[in-house]
Amino acid sequence: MTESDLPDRAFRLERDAFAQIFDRHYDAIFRYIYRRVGHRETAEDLAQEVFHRLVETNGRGGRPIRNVKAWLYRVARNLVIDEARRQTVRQHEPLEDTHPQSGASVSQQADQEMMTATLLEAMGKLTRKQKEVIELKFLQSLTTREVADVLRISERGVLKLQQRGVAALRTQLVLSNVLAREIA
Amino acid sequence: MTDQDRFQSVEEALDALKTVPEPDPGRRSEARSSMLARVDVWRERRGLTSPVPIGSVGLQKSRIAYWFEGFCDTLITLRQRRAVMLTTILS
Repeated sequence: MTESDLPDRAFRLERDAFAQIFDRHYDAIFRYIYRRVGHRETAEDLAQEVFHRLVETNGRGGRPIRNVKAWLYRVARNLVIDEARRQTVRQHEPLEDTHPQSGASVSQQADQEMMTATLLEAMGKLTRKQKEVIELKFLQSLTTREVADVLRISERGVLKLQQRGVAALRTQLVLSNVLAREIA
Repeated sequence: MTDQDRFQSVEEALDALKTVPEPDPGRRSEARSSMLARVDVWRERRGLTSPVPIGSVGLQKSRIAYWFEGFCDTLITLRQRRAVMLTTILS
């Protein structure tokens, strides 16, 4: 069984194909959603919904989903956007339980948490598209082609957003004093 | 904050954000089962045999098995009937 025949096998509603897709992508999709919603249960619910939609879309027929990975990220992204619209009252603790290093002292842990908060704040100052490109490319390790498929823009567009996003992030991080100034 | 504590590049800073919790194994397995249950529902709607993947001869085999079982039953019943008739005639 190869990766290339997965879309056709999923389209024929073969259980094994779905199981394989799930095993390959669930964790990454969960992490992607978690980073954006900052809440474990919501991330788990939405990740499950992504795979339910994969089944529904294949079940309803039409055409096989050719790029399953990009499709999953696209659906995850849309679900996160919908969730953000719905969520007006609920308060989430950002990155609630990022593995605290077992040997780290309380003050080291506090420093790390502060650093993470500063990074997230700096990311928050980017444009939505720049943020998405940086998340998909650097945090989810997607290729430029895959990011382009998820966001439905050209590869050139991805590279431009990436360049501007990284530059903007660098400025923000230097201003926040967490990034060493580059020596020219 | 000293220079040593600071990130040396944007990439290094982003690496620090890569650490997020792993999904709960119980919840992952629940999500997997739930997805496969939906696959089964769609397979049934499409008239595909539920857990047997396409290409398998599972259904054909079971049909043959059912037919063979019925055939044997009929054969035994016929033989039994003949035996009863013969016994009646001879007596």
